[in-house]
Amino acid sequence: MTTASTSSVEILFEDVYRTYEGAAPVTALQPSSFIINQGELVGIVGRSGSGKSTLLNILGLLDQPTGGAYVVRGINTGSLSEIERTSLRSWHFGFVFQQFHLLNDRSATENVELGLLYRGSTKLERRQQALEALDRVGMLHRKDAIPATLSGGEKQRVAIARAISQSPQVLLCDEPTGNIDQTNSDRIIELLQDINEHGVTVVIVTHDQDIASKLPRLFAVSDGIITDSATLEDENSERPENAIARPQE
Amino acid sequence: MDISQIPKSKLTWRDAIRDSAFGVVRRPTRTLLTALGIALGVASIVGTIGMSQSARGAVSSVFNTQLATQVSFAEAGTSSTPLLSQKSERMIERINGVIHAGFVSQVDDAQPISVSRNPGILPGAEGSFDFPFTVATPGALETMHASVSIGRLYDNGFETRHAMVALIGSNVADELGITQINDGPAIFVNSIPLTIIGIVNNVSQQNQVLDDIIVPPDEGLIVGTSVGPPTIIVQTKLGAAQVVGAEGPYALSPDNPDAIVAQVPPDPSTLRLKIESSLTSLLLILALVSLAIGMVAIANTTLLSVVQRTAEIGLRRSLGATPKHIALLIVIEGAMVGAVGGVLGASHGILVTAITAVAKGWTAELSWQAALLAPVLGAFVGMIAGLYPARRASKLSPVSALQNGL
Repeated sequence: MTTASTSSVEILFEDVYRTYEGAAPVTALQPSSFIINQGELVGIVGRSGSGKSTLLNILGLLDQPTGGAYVVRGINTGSLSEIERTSLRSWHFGFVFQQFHLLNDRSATENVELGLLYRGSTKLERRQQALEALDRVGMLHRKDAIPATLSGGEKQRVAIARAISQSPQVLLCDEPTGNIDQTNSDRIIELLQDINEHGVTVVIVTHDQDIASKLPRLFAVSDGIITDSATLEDENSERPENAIARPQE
Repeated sequence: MDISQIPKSKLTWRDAIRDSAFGVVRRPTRTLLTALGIALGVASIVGTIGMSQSARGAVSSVFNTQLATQVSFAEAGTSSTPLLSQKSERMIERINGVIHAGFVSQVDDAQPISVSRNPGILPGAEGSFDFPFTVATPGALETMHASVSIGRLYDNGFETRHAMVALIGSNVADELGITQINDGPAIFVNSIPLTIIGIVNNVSQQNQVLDDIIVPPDEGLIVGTSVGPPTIIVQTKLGAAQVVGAEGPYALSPDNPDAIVAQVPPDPSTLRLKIESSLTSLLLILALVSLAIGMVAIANTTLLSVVQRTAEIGLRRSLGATPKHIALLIVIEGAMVGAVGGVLGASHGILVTAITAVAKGWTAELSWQAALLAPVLGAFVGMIAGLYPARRASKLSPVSALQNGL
């Protein structure tokens, strides 16, 4: 298991695995152990159905592991109630989705404000934080636009604004460039890198090799087995190509 | 870090309502279509209440004028000394609540008496007609609201002068072929002339007089062999019929009130309430059925909406919404849609009531309570309808909601 000073450990996976029950139980994630430190920029790569989404869902507390210990900043999530998990999710994690998940009947600002709705802050505070977040992603000029009038890149920037408006410690991005063109894709990655440089731990699930190659640390997921490039680097002094799962095209 | 350091997810009521209002206001077509079921139910209820109230006024007026103010008195049996006479009119008129009273009777037990337009025509011969004779005082004519198509009614002056006059019912006039009375047409009974002074074409009671020849009491024994049994007919003030009916026998026969039988209309308030309550109950049942259908419709639409918004629910869960917050969103939205339906329904219910009242010639009586409570009722029904979809929505796992809602 990767060692790190306890104070900087953001996420600790200890023999975490996920099995889906059924007539034929499926192990989506084999027992895995790793540490993600605060402020890291991590990529998760792998084929469709390899288990990377399961990993991301467990990381974001959207799903629970079948076994093992998942610890977030010293909090063992296995012992939390549903309400506590929800609160930790809300205050600690931000999410960026491939499909943006913007509400079509709300403006960009209102969509960003939604990220702060469940925190008990006032409408004025929400509005102020939403506008700051939109400014940070360069979308303040489109603050009143509804999603239908935004390009894919713009939609994703609004979605990122919604995520960072919550001031998360960890930003979990599931194929954030999957639905946008190359130019916008580069901008989004630059934006995520910029967010990471400001101290936010960023985890990006991607199929894109170019994007993966820009990330300092990668988890390659294949048949539920996670291969951590950092571990391999420790062993081989350099990151091997096979640490990155190649998408099937 | 300890979990106690993490603030709990929370949603204020104001934010919950504001957030739900987004969905209702920003999707007006969906809102209106969903609210339609509730609107129909509420419109039925408001319309039912409004129409039954308006109809109550109409029903009341019919009862009041046609039935509830008419009382009559007759002798219970045959006695050697008649208990009722023309003087009975004045006895009854002294009772509080009596407007008019009159003496009515039949000549020869209402057996037809032969009359002719010319003297000397024998009964049964050509030119003779058989009609029953009714004896009525001027007070009785007034009490039965007799009106004439031509001519006039007789009054106390005719009685005092013992003028041999008669009124004929409109049906009698048709048979006799009398259409005008300017030349003082006469009819003859046993060669005794009676001058016809008017043709009675309408009465509010004693309808048989339209088929009769009506004469003052003094003429009864002139044209026939007997008069009786007498009836005292009375018109009372509104609401006084019951009292007059109870007091009348004592006024007419203080020594033996049981010998007088009063015919009093059923208590109009009781009868009216019976009619109204059965009518209103029927309509309200129909309205409640409509409302139930509306509730099922809104529940279905909300359930469909939950399915359509699965991804949104997943997103909200990822943003910190608890299952309770999701349920609250759906229930409040349901209540708001229901309230919209309530407002629409109340408006249409009032409109339908007004149109119906105008068409029926009623005075529209609208219940402001029903109109104001309608949105509350709609909201309540909408809220109930939203419970099941809300439960379904709150049970969605964030992962499956995000994946399946794509």
